Amino acid sequence: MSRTDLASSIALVIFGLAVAFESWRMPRFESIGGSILNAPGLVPGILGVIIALLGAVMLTRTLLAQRRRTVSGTTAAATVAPDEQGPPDTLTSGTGPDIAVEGTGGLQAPSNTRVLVALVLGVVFGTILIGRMPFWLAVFVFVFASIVYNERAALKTRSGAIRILLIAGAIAGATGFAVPFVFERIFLVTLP
Amino acid sequence: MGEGLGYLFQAVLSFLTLSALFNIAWATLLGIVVGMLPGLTATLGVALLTTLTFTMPSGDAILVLICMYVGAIYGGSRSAILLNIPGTPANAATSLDGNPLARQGKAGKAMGIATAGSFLGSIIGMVLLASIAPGLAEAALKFQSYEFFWLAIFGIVIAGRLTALEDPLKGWIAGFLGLLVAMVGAEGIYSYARFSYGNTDFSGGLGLLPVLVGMFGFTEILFVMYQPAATAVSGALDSVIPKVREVVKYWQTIIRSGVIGTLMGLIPGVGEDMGAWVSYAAARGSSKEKHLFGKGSVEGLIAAETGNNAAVPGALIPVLTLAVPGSAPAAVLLAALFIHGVRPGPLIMIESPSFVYEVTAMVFMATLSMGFFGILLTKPLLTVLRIPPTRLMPIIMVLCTVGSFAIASRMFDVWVMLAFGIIGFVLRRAGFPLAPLILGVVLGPILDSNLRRGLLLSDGSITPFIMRPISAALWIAILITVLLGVPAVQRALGRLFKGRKAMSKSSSDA
Repeated sequence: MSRTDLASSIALVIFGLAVAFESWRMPRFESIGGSILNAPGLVPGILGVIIALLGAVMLTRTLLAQRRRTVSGTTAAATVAPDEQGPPDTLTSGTGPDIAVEGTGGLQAPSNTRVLVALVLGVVFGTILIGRMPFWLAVFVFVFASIVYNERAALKTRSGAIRILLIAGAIAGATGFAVPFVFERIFLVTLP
Repeated sequence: MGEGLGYLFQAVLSFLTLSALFNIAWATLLGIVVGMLPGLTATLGVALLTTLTFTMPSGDAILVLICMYVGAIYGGSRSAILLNIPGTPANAATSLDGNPLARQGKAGKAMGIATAGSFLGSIIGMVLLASIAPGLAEAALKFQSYEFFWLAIFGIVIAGRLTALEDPLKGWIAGFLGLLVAMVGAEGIYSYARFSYGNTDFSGGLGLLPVLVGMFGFTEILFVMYQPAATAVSGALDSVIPKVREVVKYWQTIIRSGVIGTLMGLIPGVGEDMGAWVSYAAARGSSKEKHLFGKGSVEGLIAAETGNNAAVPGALIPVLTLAVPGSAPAAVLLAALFIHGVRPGPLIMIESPSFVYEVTAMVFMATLSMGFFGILLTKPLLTVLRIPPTRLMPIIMVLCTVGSFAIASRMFDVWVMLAFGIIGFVLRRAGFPLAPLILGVVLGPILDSNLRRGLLLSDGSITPFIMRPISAALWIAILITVLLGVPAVQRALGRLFKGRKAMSKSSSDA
């Protein structure tokens, strides 16, 4: 987590300062009686400074924790020497061990690839498919592709492939029909 | 009080029509299903239904949304018990004892106890809603810009502290980021479009619903895809009807958890999850059966479920009286109230005195419906848990897209949803809680307009911000909350209490 914290804190400091700078550049409408007290940039500017400060606190905390770990790591290496009386009791200090997450029994390993594919499919659906073809067709293509990708393990055998293609087609078809029907006909909501 | 009871009675009677009962039934049932499915939260459910009920009469729409909210918070207990995965974040504490009970072959009993706890929690919360809200609205009439400014900061600080207990700094950062999101678009005094750079879409601001659907919909989808589904506890189901003796035995725990849950709901942005956790911790602290907690304690399960469902009416109290949400789903509900022309806030008891009681009656009807379906449809509802997430998530994604688009009919909102889904995923992976961010989006305009208005009224002086009694109480509470979140202060306090304990021990030994 410390590497993530380091990156997040640096990003927050830069982001906060950029927001504060942009807020400072906003007009103050002094020609029509405005002042700094009701300037549009007042609140976002303060928020930008606060975010940069909180980011700086996080950055300092992360760097200090890393330094403590490095120091305790060096001490630990020194304590291996046979003539030492024993390891110092600060060896386990620092950020402490990761807390075990309960309740994940039975889960498979997390997968970044699945996330990436879900993300790409979602973005393609929301930015490319919608608007370039009828909505029901965009829904069909997206749902069908998502299910087939997620259950691609079944495609290895002929019977598995037929089964999964039929299931994906049925779910995608039903969604492509039901969503426009429910939203447009029953609840009178406009669709993309 | 008598007048209030009259309004309540009238409101309950008004819901005894065929169309109202039909709406209550389908919305609660849908809520239970939404809550049961990991990846679908109460917030997303209420947000998607807000778009669906867009064209309905306001009374019907609000009734439907409250039924969804109550049903979803309860429904999450099913997956917490059977899958050990809370259906909504509010049911995380439920899984601690619910799942061990299921693994001991008592899944039916666990679901029955969860139903009883949720039912009683909602009823306690509902009673407190009807009793606290009118008084709070009256007190809020004394609020001016200075107090509303501090209230917005208080909401961010307390929500950041309580939703990120191990690292409040990240909670506060998330809250301030949310406030910043609300700054995009035209502001209220000069209509200057901030951070828009000539883009007309940005000038209109980032809508709460697309941001919410992104963070609670698309982000959840990405998380579900990150971790594949767990398998449910299988086997024959024992009786799901809770034994009265077993429930009555824990009456003290139920009342305590109901009150704690409601109070947690009342605090801006904190909501149902903390309602459950704090109730659970309080029950464990005072229990005679501490050793059973985490191993299938009925008391632990009932405390968690009473606490989270009591937080639902609790979260509605600040929505109605201050126009500040008590939880993330309540934030959507607040937006829905505005969409349907209802103006919640301190004037609610003057402008429409019956409305608080109408909402109380809606919670009551939703609770009855939840108890009814919870007991009667246990087995059929379990089939929902067998749907593989790989087949469900693409459908949810379609609903998120439609839900984001429907309110304003602009594609920009779909892109906002996608962007905030990705931002939410990155932030959650980095350990930042999302609830304070959402609260920030809601509180941003309140903070902005009240700080600038307050400064203008006081001619640039910050004295009224500091010296007015309610303002002073709020900033002192903020200061204490922040100080208690600083590790150095925590360590100093720990040493102080340790020293005192040691001193009193040595004096008693002497």
